[in-house]
Amino acid sequence: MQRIIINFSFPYKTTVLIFSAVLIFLPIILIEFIDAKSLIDEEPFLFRSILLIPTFIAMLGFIYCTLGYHFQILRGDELKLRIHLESLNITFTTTLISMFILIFMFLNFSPTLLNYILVILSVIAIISYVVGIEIVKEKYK
Amino acid sequence: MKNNLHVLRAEKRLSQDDLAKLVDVSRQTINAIEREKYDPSLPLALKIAKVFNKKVEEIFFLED
Repeated sequence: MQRIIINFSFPYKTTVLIFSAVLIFLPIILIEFIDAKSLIDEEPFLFRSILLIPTFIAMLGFIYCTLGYHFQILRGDELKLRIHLESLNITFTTTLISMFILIFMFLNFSPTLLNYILVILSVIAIISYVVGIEIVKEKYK
Repeated sequence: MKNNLHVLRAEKRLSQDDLAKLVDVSRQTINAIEREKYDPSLPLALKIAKVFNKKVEEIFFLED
């Protein structure tokens, strides 16, 4: 099983990524065109399906792209792997420091925002990874 | 770590892209190695040495 995953090439990653991004927003778009209130009252199962099915497919798509990128980097060029690893180091450090600062700030000044701390840290992690990639690329140019 | 890769490449009339394809890396990796910004892994250094029919220590050497 592990060998199958490692040797699988994960094709059409970009297409799957775009498709998943569209599917995430599809329920919001669909709800604009249907009478949501009556649908929740009369057909609650259908309403849940409108949200559940596209987001489930989108989740599978994002996982597919993440695994594909993971194995692409592992199997590919060694300098790209080095850049990826150094960027992950920057991401981890940035996210950890942000977590300490945010916990202090939210505990003392806005405790309700602690509910969103995971989402905020995820966004910080993604942004710091993207910025980290550019910073590390410059080092090797 | 220093290297004389660009000299060896010029002697064999190979572009960075040609060498990159021979050793299965990107052109950017060869460029980074030649500019001494990146030290290759041992397998890559051995592959490069094989292309030029030289020993690894004839291509790559420690700074004094």
